[in-house]
Amino acid sequence: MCEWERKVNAYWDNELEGEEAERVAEHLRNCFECQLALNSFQQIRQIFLRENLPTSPAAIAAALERLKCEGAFQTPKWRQWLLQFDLWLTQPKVAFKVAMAVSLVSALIMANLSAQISQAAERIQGSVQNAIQSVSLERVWQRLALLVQKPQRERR
Amino acid sequence: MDERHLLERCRKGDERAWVELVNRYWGLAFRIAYRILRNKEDAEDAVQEAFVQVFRSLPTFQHRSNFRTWFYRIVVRVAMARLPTEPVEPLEEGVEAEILECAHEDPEKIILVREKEQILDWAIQQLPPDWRTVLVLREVEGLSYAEIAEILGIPIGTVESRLFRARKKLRQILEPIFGDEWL
Repeated sequence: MCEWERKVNAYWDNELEGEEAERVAEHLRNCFECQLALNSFQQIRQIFLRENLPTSPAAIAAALERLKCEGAFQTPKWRQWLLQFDLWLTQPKVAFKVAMAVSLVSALIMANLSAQISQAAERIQGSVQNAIQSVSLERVWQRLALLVQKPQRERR
Repeated sequence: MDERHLLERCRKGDERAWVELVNRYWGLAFRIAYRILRNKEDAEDAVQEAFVQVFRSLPTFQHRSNFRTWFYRIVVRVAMARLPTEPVEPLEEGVEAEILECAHEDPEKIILVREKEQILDWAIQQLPPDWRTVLVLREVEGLSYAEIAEILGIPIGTVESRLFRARKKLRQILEPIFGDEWL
């Protein structure tokens, strides 16, 4: 082994500066043994860099879950309340009662709305009838006659 | 989001900040842990443990040192603690001799018989854990001797010495197997 090999090692790692680095570079030009050593350092790095690492997203998810268990995530108060409300609401008994209440209220609203709609329809019907009655038949005939005569004149 | 802001949010318990921190540093931590432990499950467990330690120590982290350096230190410490205390049995008995014998007979055969990565695994396992860690931090993460010394809490001269010995040993192991054509 050449005694410069240790320095070649530091040179390869860019840990030498100025004159020292120049001296090693000069030595490398003439020493076959050190050239082989440098080549092996290059190859070792290449092997490391080429290596395929088999990590999985599931492991990241597991780490986050562990952090959650450790208490790393502090949920804001409003979210805590929301979660508690959600837990309460999704209990079968509560869910059933809430569903019944919602159905009842919806039925009442629908009934109320349908009464209002029928009242409005009656009002519209009445006003249409009034309008028809207020128009005299004579004027209607005159208008129709004008409409029939107009196209005939245009044709001539 | 810059790192300081991200860490502040993690400190406050923001879940989304933690998700970002874990995603941002998972690859880096796994690279180191896997190359020290040479086992996927062990490495993933070590990284998980490292993040838990980050969570526990984050309130005392002062931003005086770089977060990355601080994190490297945690990952290396956790991974080293998981290394078996007894000398590692690299491969089944006789496999080393078999590999060397095959390499002399037909170098190409060895590549067909065993993947290069397996051989690398085997070779790296021959290194003492201290050498292996220094080599990983230098070759994979590209850290300077000073940075490695800071992370491991050892003198720069020791970093240089361990690196040189690790490379020399790897060379001694791999050269008879791959010959001149390593790659």
